[in-house]
Formats: sequence, structure tokens, C-alpha cells
Amino acid sequence: MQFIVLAGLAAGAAGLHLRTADKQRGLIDESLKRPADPGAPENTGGGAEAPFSLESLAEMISVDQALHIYNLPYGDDPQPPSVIFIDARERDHYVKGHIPAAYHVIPQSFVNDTLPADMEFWPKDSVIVVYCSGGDCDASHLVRTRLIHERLFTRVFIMEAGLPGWIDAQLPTEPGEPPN
Amino acid sequence: MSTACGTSVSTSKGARLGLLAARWLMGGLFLFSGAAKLGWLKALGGMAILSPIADQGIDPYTFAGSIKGFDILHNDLIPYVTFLVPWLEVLCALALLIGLATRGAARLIAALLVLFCLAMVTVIIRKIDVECTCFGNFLGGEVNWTSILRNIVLLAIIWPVAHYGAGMLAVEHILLAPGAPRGE
Repeated sequence: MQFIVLAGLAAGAAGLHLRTADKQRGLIDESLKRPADPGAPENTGGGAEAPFSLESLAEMISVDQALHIYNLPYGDDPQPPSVIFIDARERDHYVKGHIPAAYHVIPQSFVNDTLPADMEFWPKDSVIVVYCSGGDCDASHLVRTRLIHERLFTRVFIMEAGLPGWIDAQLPTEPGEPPN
Repeated sequence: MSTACGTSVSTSKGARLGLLAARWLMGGLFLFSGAAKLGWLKALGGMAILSPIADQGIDPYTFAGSIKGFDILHNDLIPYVTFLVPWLEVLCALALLIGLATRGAARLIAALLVLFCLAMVTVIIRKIDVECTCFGNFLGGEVNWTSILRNIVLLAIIWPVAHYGAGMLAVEHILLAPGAPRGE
């Protein structure tokens, strides 16, 4: 009887909280809307033949597309966009090796205020690429959702293959502590 | 510790003290755990002296992400479980701390621990890399066999309370009629 009463009270409190916590509910619902088919050709380098265009990119990008973004500041554009890479894996994994110059931001960073100190100076239209371990790793999605909905960045992408895909493409990584 | 009629009563002072200690330990831990997941600890961040405690807190969104990472529940259920689990923890913790509906609270906590252990086992078997936000950022890190062992230890601590009752200093002792069995 006590078991049932407590469970019922908890369910009632949780239901009430869920109804009133609009912001949290919005973030949760957004994060649960995953791409229907993340393996679809247009998300995995299908743009390799067409000229690269930021405007045509979907939420999930390939390693090739991430590399294009990484090289934007060094290209022909006289006013390249601000490009930021974010590693959303655990700190130990980041320290062992990450994409050069990537920041370290995990989902808990938004709650504990351990975000990069210079994030407030990042232009809101910066091109941000978030990655984690690829596959079923959700950390990059969680970070992306917060960047868009809480920090109001408008161009945030996820490198679907994660760091393993970057390494498989024989692209450079570097070890070291996070700059933030 | 059982009476002749089969009800569970703690008679020795040491046993009752042990039950009290178990109640308060688990009550404190799960109050912290529930508050951490509901984002309440974050509110303490404004005071520098409490920021180490605030840093252990997360919020429902982060907890939902962790649940999703376990890849057990359907997405439609995740928002409800996100809020139900911490509220269960908070209410059961309060019940344990004050000694009211103690056995029911202890049994609920034990049930939660068993569920958490089973979920962790499936994650380890499926080799899923997921962050354990069981107690917010406190004792965090990836789910592994140590996490399961920890939960088994907690289960061992709460089990006597679930079986024998509140011990001493319990509100339910005051509410029960004189002469009625304690710890029911």
C-alpha cells in the first residue's frame, strides 16, 4: 500500500512538473527528433560530386563535408565564416586525441557553466561542427540542440561518423588539454 | 528480529540504530540524486561556497539524454521517465529521512536500484558507450561493472530497511497507535 501511494504521488508530481517545465520539455522533444535515416546518401558525402555549399548542408554531415568546413578559413573567400569544431566526448577521450583546435564541450557543460570562456564572443552565424564517437553516440546531438536553442547559434552541424571517421580518413588529430 | 505473529520488529538498540543509519544514508543520497536530476542543485550555483555541490547537478534535459543513450525505452516514454524517476527518488528519500511509509519507500528505492542494474547490464553487453548520470555528475562516468557493483552495495544497505522497517526516530512510530507493531 505504501509502495502504491508513494508511486502515485511521484507520478502526480512528475506529471505536474512535466506540464510546467516548458523549456526543458522543448529541449527533450527536440533531441528526440532524430533524422529518420541518418544513413541516407545525402547525409553521407553524397555531395562529393557537387560543389560544396554551406547552405545545402543537412544537420548530419560527412567527414568530407567537415573537412571542407575545417579548411574554409584558409580558402579563397576574403571573408570566411568563423569555424568552430567541438568535441563532445568525455574529457579523457578528448585529451588522448581530438581534431586540432577543437573545443571540448559536453552536454553537462551547459548545466555546470563550464563552457568555453570565449563562447559569448563567437558570432551567432559561426559554422560549428560537433562530433563525438559516431554511431550511437548522442552527446553531439545533445550539445547541438543546446547550442541552437539556448545559445542561438544558427549553423551547427554534426559530423556523423565522429572522430573514428575522421581518423579513418587519415586526417590529423592532436592530443592535449582543452583550451577552455 | 521477527515477532511471534510474523511482523518484523527491530528490538535491539544496535539494530534499530543501524536501520536509522541506513535510512538516513540512503535518504540523503537519493534526495541528492533526485534533486541533481531535476536541476535543483544548479540553483545553488549562485553561492560560491555551494558551487561544488551545484556542479554535481544536471537538468532534466541532460538526464533525458542519458536515458536515451541506454537505448531501452521508446522515445515517447523518455520525457515521462525523465521526470518520474527523480520524483520517485525525492519522495522516497523524504519518506526515509523522516521515517514515514518507510518500508514502502525502501522497497521502491530497491526496485529502482534493481531496474538500474538491469539497464546497466544491457548497456555493457551491447557495448554501448553511455554516461551514467545516476547521481547527476556525482560518481559519474561511463556505465561499467563498477557502477553495477555500486548499486548492489546500495541495495544491500536499503534491503534491511525494506524488510525490518524504520528502526528508531520515525514519524510513523508517533502516528501508529500505542502497542501496534513498529516498522509496518
